[in-house]
Amino acid sequence: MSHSSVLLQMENLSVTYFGPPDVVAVHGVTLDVKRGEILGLAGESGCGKTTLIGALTRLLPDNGEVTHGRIEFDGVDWLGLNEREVDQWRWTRVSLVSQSAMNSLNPVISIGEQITDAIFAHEPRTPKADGWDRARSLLRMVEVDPSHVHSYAHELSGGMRQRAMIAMALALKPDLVIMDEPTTALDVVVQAQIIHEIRSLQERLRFSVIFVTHDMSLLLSIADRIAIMYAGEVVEVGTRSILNHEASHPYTRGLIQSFPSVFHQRTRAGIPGAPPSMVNPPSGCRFHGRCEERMAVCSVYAPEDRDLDGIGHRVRCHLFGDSGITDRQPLAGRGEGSGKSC
Amino acid sequence: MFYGVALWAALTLNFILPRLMPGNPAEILLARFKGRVNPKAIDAFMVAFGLNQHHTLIQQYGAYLVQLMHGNLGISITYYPEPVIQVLGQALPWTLLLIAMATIISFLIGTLAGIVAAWHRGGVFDSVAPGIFTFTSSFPYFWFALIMLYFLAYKAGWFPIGSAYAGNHGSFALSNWPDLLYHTALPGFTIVVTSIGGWLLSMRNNMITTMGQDYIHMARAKGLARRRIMYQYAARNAILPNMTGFALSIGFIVSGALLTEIVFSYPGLGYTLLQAVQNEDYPLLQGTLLLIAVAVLLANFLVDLLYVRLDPRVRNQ
Repeated sequence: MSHSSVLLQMENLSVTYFGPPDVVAVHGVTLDVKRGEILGLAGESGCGKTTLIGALTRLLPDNGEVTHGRIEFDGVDWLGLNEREVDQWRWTRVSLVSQSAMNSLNPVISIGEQITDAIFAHEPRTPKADGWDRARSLLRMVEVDPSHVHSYAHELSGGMRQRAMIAMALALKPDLVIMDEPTTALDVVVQAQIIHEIRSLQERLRFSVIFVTHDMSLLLSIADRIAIMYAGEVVEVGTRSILNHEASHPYTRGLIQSFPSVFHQRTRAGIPGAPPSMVNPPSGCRFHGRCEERMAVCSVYAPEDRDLDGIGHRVRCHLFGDSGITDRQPLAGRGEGSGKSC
Repeated sequence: MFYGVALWAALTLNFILPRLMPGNPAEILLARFKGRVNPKAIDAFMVAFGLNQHHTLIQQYGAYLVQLMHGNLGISITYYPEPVIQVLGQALPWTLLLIAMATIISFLIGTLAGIVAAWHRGGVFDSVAPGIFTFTSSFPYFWFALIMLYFLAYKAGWFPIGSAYAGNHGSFALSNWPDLLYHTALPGFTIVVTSIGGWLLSMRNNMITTMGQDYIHMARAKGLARRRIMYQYAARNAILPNMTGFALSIGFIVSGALLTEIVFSYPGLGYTLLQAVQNEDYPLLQGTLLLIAVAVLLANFLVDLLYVRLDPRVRNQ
């Protein structure tokens, strides 16, 4: 095992769903997850978040395939592992908490059985009683009464189910827990409790988290670093404070302005238009059709990643380009959609 | 509770229906035997059906229920002077042997094939099996049964032409089982072949729906063994709707295979029912229908119990 601070490295990753029509749902994503950090991944519905997770967990639908790039997990070529090896890594190294806890728990077998089957699958020599004791202490850890090992999903409240899912995800002490909108289906009070729970567990156990959501305000309170996805691309990555105060990509700024701030007065504004079709993505920068600051170059050339501060605040936007294209005059009549994207 | 009410309703309907028909069973009995009937038998018959003229309908109804509780269903006309209960008692085991076995085999094989087909969706088995079994399921049953009987039993002589046993008396003694199975093989085969497609297709469809569920995705993410995901996660949920269909079909095991028993001259309840209808044997008809109603209720009750074991969500309601 290497001792690099980087746990997971995605390089120029592209995922295609073969059609017809073929859809490139994730396009050229380069992103890393460091040990013990919470990486937030934000973006609108359909921007490729779930596809990216599918590639990371190697659970893409049958017609989805990583067509380009590589994923390195703890120094190992993750996409090069065979199915059997991946199965061994699953849950022991990478686990998953998904959006809807109701549907993610098998309705006909007990919570305890669903926690222990993961334990027994990966540590087959564990005595039965020990497995169940571990299931009880895992539930206790997420503040669910341990007697619920014998309960079924329908007997628990939404918040308890989500806690049970988190307990399950931590059963084998994974290095990385991928949380796919873990609080979306919950009301705000329970949501706050769960977030608090995740954060305290993560501080105690030091696992890495990829926290996927479309709720930017949530990420600004929980994530160490945040990556913003738009139309299959990561358009900006940076630490929480950088994104909070120095968000650079017009799309990121739009996202941040679209929710109210508790601390200071801010004019709320949405982002005009709708996400582009992934079947036939816009030419050049994929955001140019909705961008208030677009330039002539934006609809022609796709921007490249640019590290703004040299320590990982990366933006994919011509406003910060150094590609030799000097035309930085905003187009006349900006703000009107080009018609290409909507 | 529900079963109590349903049973009562069935019994009551069974009481009312014959009384809505013109004439009465006693007249039919007398007409049929032209006075050569044992007067005591007629008395018993009248009492069993509450036909004593001095009694009101309510009293008749009460008497009918009392007789039922004593297991007295009257006397069969076709098999006179055998009591109906005895006729049914002779026919029931054969029907249970043949139809229950065939239905259960068909359900098990069809369900398992459905699970496998859906799990390997688009594979060789999935491309071939549903097609074949849909084809065999669409055979008109009597046609298929007659063809089988003609070619395999009559022409080839591999199977007996009819009956459920060799000789005049069937017995369930252990030494007789090879003979019994030999007699049930062909009729059983025709039932399985024509009914298996339904189980296969419905199970396959349930499985495909279930396999799209999030908990299957989670189970994969957990790195569980494929076999466990397939059975404990997918099939365990997908089988629930199929159990309801199974409940209905085992209820009709008792009555269901009318055609089978006629084609193969198999001495079961379906054959008895046919005899009862042809001979206007109301007591036997009534007894058979009663037995069918009770069997449907009993089967539903048993499947309910099983359902409670399989689905925790119905337990606490």
